[in-house]
Amino acid sequence: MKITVEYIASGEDEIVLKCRQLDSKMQRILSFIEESMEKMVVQKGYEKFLLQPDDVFYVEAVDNKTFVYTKDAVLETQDTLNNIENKYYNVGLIRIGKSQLVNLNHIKKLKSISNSRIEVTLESDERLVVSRHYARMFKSRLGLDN
Amino acid sequence: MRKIKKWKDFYLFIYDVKTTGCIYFVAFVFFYLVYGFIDPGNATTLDSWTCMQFIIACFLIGLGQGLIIPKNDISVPRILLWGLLSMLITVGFSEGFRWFNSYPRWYSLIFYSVIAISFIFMWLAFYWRLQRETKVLNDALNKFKEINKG
Repeated sequence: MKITVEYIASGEDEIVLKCRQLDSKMQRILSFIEESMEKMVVQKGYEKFLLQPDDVFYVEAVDNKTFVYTKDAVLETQDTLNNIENKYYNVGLIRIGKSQLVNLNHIKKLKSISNSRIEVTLESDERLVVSRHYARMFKSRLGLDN
Repeated sequence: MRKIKKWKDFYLFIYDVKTTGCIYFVAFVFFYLVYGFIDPGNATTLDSWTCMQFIIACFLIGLGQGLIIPKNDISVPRILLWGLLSMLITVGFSEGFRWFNSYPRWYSLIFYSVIAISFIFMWLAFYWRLQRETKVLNDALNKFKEINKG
């Protein structure tokens, strides 16, 4: 498949997919692009925002509320953890515990710790732990065979 | 098919236990007989009955290692539990069967200490394993990020 990137001086960014038919490979690319562009509805106080899923560092569910953590803000969303996990899987969000998702693209480093768990250090230097239960899935997402 | 797999798993498990037990057996025999070098006046010998007791004790230690510390699940509490159990087996067998009856008392204490130190080396194996896993994880993470960026 030929990939062409054209740089433009002004105007809106645009993605054009040219194909003879929308086969499974092209479908995957299309859904990846759509998911990456689908913004997350979040709120802070009474204000609502649209957030790029790429900007999410991690997501946490506390007392039936879902909080989205970015580099420097904590926002609330009405979406459930399960929905976010399914919707933004291709963006890099993965489950690390019963109530947490992490964005693989914002992880600075990983550390294997006792009881088959993994310590995650984010670009913001916050630390999270991948529970033993989800460690296998986490490794497999990184292409490791456990 | 499942029965064959279970049998194979069991065979491989016992194979590992025997291998581990053999390593401890060599250490036991060496530290039991090395007293002859420390005090050349005292000829050290290992009779077949004591040798058999060594084999049983070492097999139990190896079995404990296989059951308590499986390869994919090393953790601090597991190492502690196995170390404690192994020391109990060593001291229990040694005192119960009077392995060091013809030796001075301090020598049995040295023997226990050496064996305890060898168990502590298990911690080192644990630490190295975590370090190696950490490297593998970070390499995989960087690869994932590169692919996603590209």
